[in-house]
Amino acid sequence: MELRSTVYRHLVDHGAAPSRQHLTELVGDVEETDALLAELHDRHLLVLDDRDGRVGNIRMALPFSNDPTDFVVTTDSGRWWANCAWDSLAILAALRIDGRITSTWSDTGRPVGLAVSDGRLVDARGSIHFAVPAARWWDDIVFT
Amino acid sequence: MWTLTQDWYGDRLDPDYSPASIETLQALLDGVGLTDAFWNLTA
Repeated sequence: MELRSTVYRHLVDHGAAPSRQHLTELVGDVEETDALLAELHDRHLLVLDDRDGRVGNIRMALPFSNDPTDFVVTTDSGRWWANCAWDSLAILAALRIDGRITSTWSDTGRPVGLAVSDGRLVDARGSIHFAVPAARWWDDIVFT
Repeated sequence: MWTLTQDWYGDRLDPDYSPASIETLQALLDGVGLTDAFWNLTA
């Protein structure tokens, strides 16, 4: 079983990443599961959670967030949280389907909506702010 | 941004996904005009 692919498939199908417990049941061994997840985390293919009560679970499978965020992506097939504005677009790009993004403008607090229709971004106005230089994105990916 | 995003993330869900090299990703940024030092992927 290719764990990364399994995680992403579960996330797409269910709107959330599989739990560490679920993955352990699939893999059959908790130590092997943790080792596989740690390797994926070290290779920046997943982001594991280090918060109390959630250690070892998946926090992010970029561009998807496993926690509720202000960036919600909705398609006819499902609904997912993104980590940021760029990840919102990235979810639709990764799914290769049309959909809608809802969020809030950070400067005004007003709601913002974007849509991809027929594979094209519709009426795209505004900007995405990148606060962290690219070389440092993975210094603290949760902050980024 | 949309074009960049499609190129950057378009294959993320492929079962055979393999991360692109830094050089490939840098070329994607360059290709959409993000050539300022801020966008350098390597320190």
